[in-house]
Order: sequence, then structure tokens, then C-alpha cells
Amino acid sequence: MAESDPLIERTEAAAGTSGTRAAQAANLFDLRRIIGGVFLVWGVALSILGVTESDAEIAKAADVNINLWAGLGMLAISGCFLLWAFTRPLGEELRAAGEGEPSAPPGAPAPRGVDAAALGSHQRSRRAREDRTSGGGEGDAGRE
Amino acid sequence: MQDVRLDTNFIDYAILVTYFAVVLGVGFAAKRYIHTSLDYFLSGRSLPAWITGLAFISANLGAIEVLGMAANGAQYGVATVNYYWIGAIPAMVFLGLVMMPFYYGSKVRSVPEYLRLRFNNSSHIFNSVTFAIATILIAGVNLYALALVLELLLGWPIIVGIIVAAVIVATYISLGGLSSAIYNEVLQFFVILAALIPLTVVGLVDVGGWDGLQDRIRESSIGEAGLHALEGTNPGDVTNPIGASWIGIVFGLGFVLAFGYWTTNFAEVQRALSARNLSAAQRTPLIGAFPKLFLPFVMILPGMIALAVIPGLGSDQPNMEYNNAIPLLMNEYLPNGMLGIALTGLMASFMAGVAANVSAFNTVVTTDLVEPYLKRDQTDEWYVNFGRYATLGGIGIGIFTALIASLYDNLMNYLQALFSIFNAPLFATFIIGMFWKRMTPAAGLWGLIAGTVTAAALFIGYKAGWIGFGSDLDESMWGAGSAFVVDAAVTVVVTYMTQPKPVEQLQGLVYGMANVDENAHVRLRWWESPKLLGFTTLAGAAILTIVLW
Repeated sequence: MAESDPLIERTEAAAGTSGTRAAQAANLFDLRRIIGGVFLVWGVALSILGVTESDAEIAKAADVNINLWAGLGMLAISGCFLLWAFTRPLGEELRAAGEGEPSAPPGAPAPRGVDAAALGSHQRSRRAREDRTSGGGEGDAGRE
Repeated sequence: MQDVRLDTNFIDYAILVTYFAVVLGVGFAAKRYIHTSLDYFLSGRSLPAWITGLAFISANLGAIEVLGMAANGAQYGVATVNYYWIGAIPAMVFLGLVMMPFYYGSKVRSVPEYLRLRFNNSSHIFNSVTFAIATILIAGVNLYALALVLELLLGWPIIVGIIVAAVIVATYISLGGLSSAIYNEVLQFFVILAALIPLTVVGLVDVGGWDGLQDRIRESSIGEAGLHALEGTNPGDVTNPIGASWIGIVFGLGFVLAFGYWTTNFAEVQRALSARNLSAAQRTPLIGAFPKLFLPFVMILPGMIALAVIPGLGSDQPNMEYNNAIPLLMNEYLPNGMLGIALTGLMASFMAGVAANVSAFNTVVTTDLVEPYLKRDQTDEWYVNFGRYATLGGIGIGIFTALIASLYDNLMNYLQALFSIFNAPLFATFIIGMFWKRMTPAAGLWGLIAGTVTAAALFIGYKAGWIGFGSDLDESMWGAGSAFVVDAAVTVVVTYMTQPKPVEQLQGLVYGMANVDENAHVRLRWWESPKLLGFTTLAGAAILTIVLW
């Protein structure tokens, strides 16, 4: 049977000993901010280029000021990602989710489900987690 | 002769350098998170579906895909959409809805490992070795293609381009493992779109919108036939530019090649295995399928626009190959600034192709070859370190295979031939093994060997001139099809001659015995239902195909 495969079991066991999923996931940085940040910088740069664009360059691009439009589009994308990242911040979500995370009982697969951007998932599963809280928080659950 | 060298200035380079800095930064940041081998090879199975889903599609958005699909758009017109709506989406939906419970539920760490559990060690070793070879060959193709484009657009010597790209990819993957590869793939996805969307918009404005483009295509070399997806594909009366009947398109491309690629290629499946629970793993290919529905509009359209606005595209003048459709358009339209973004998008897509294969390679070498057979019972940490060396070694060999790829003049066809040899037989073995409990371990091994040898023999016979085919693509469709059939036939025959595994050893591995997800009690919101996502995407693909019929 698959679950009793010794190699897979060792890997799972090793994964289970390195702190809670919450503590591990807390080390995962927020990808939403990175994407938002990159597009913010590029969006500002392209918009400035677009505003100061020469007529010759605009004529080259079929009379579309493509630097300006692309810049504004990137700023819009960046805004969406940053808004998402800041309205549902990572640290807060992880702390809340980490408190309820039980330690893995021996032999059972470690619970998955706490992660960087699984925003809101702990909210809908909070009731389920509260049922399992008896396992208690891990020593390093508060680590950030 | 048209000049393809881009008129870049410091702004374009600044944009490119920013991107490289962020990519490397992601590698260093991800390193802090690596504590165990599960973290390094499968991101600790902790990622949410939107991240794994976008990485899933991005791993396929190598630049050969980007440049090649634009080239096909210029050469075949609208018929190229068959590669997406028939040749990808049904396979992706099948992977998510039907196969993922066995992959994810059995907790295997790689696709070959499934064979070890379902069949035996020898089929596992055979597949691990062929897969490791295939990924490193494909990584080499991407590296070489990248160097070609850098030489064409910026004038960098080929070897400099190969080494710069290899060093960057080696750094971020050896540091951060799969997390770093996946995070960068998601970023790459948006950068590639940021490059392609503005290019398509400017091109469409220039040709006078879709109506204007249709008029221009009718006047072009492919004519009215270039505006239809499936018209003119009746067997015996094939007038479609792609030159295949609907039987070939649906079964050769849509079934064997596509299912073989999407459902058994570990470079793709690995993204789904890193998801945080079964539902997220199932949704990974389905979320990836959504962008796949719309990618033709920014990948095939630029090719068609290039055909309309660039005189002499596809002729044998220097630099006018179909593959250069996108670079030529960039040169035609984009001002500095946007040019830098487009250049960065191309670089991003090349690195995605290399990184996806290298991160799959290091996992298979470590968990499928070294751990079970060569160096058993080392500490978990030892395997993480080994994975890092395997990454560096893989890229080192990749530089060498890039030089092999430089011997081929059509990279897309070289890739399709590789898929027909390595993926098509594997798909037959998987699909039979998952649905037929009786299939024996010996059948797993001999089916795979027979299928692989068949496709390889056809390929060699075609290259040596002993067997004739209509085209390279025709050869890979036939190669894939016969590999599938031979594998299936040998599997059935050997199964009836040998002893099956006891059925209790197949828990979680075969149809009807899937493991129940431990997170099943987490109630999904209605829009998170894999079935809903899957069938919506299928319907979308059907509607779009009918609209462009």
C-alpha cells in the first residue's frame, strides 16, 4: 500500500519534524508584493516615458502611445496585487492559522493547508481547526 | 534583408537588469524556507492553487512555445488554435479531474515514483533514466534557443548567451529549489503577458482591427484558409493549411501527443504535486487551462499580424524565418521602454523553459535514482544538498546538450520528436495501469520499453531516410501514435502471461481505490469546485473552436 512505502514515509517524517507548517510557511515571502512591486516600478517608468514620448516614436507604434498605455496598465495590475496583499496581509493570516495548527500525530500525514497566500482559507476552515486545537501550538509557532 | 537588431538603449537594459535582480532575489529569499527535502523538491506541499496553476502554465510557456506558436500563426493562420483548444485543454482537464487523485493521493514525490509503487523497480529505473535524459535535452533546447535570440536581437555571441542564462537559472534553483522555480514562473507569466499584450494591441490597431486583419490575411499567401480552425479538414479533402485531417488533429494531436505531454510530463505535474491539498492539486491544471483558453489571442495573433505587415516573412531571405515573427514585430513597433519589457518577456519565457526542466531533473535524479538505488539511508539534509549539486550538474550538462540542439534547424520539430519518444508510451502505461487493476509489474516495464523503442526506431528510420513521412510533424504524430499502440498491445499481452500485484498493494494507485484527502472536510467555496472549473474550461474551448470554425 502506498502510504507504507519506506522512502516516502521518511520524507514525510522529516518534513513533520521541522516545526509547524505555519512556521515553515511564515518563511515563504509574499509573492503578491513582489509582482506588485515589479510592475509598480516598471509602470511608473513606462508612464514617464509615455508622457515625454516624441511624435516619431508614437508614429512608429501605429500612432498608439504604447509606453503610456502599457505603463498605466501595469500600474493597474500592480494596484490589484498590492491591494490584495495589504488588505489580507500574510503575517496576520499565518499567525491566526498557526495557532490552531496541531502537530502531526505519528504515522499520519502532516496537515497541509497553512501557507503564504491561502488567504481566507483558514477562515472557512476555522471551525474544523478549532475542533483539532487540542494538539496545541508548537513552541515556535509564534516565530516570524 | 531586414535588420532585426533591436535599437535598445539604457532604459531597456535597466528594465532587464531589474528583472534579473528580482529573479535572483526570489532565489535567495526562498532559500530561507528550505528545511527538508520535501521543501526543496515539492515546496513542502504548501502552495495555494493560484500559484501552482499559473506556474503550471508558465512552465509550458518556454520561448520555443512563444516563438513557435507565433511562427505557426504566420504559417498556418487560425488553424494553430487547434494546438490549444483541442491539443491542450482536454488533456489538462483530464489530468486535474481524473489522474490527480492518484498522483497526489498516493503522496508520490515524482511521476516516475508512481511507477515504482504501481509496478516495480525496473520500470521505475527505466522511466527515471529516460525522463532525466529527456529533461536535460529539452533544457538544452531552451538554452540554445535563448542564445539564438540574444544573438539575433542584441548581437551577443551564442556561447555568452547560453552561459549567462545558465548561471542565472542555476543560481536561483540551486538556492531555492522548487519554490524558487515556481515563484519565478508566476512572475514570468505576468512579464510574458506584459510583453505580448501591448505588442498585439499595437499590431491590431495598425492593421485595422480584426476585420482589417482578416482582409490582409485573405490577400496573403495562406488566403481564406488561414482564417479557419477546422474547415477543410475532411479526410481525403484536406485544404487546411496545417495539412492534417480532423482525425489526425483529434487523435494524434489532441489525444496521444497532448495527453502524453500534459499528464505524464513531470516538469508539469510537479507543479501540481506542490499544491497544499488534493483540491488545490486538482485545480492546478484547471487554473492553468484558463489562460490557455486565451493565450492564442496574444500568441497566434501576433504571428498573423506579422504575416500581414512584414513583407517577405517566411521567405528564405536571411532573418525572415517564421520563428522571427515576434522579434520582427518588436522591432517594427515598439519604442524604447516597451522594447525592454518585450525583451525581458522573451528572456523570462526562455528561463521558464530551462527552469521547469531543471527543477524536475534534480528531483528525479535525487528521489528516483540516488535515494532508492545508489545512496540509501542518508539524512534528509544530505538529499537536499545532493539536489543542489544535481541542479548544478544538470545545468552543466544542459550547456552541452544546447550544443547538440544547435545541430537542428527546426527546434519545435526536434521537441515534438522528443515528446513522441518519451511521453507517448508513458501515457499508455499510465492510463492502463490506473484503470486496470490486473495489469502486472512486468507489463509496466515491457510496455514502456516496447513503446519507447518503437518511437525511437521510427524517428531514427525517418532521419536516416529509410521511412518516409509527409513532414517532421507528421513523423512525430505517427511516432507518438504507434508508440502508444505498441505499448498498449505489449502491456495487454504481457499482463496475461505474468502475475499481477495483490490488489491490497494497489491502495491509492488505481481507479476505484483513490486515497481520501485528509483535508476533505475543508468545505470548498462553490467556485473552487474542480468539476465546475474543468467543465467551464472545456465549454469555453468548444465555444471558441466553433466561433472560429
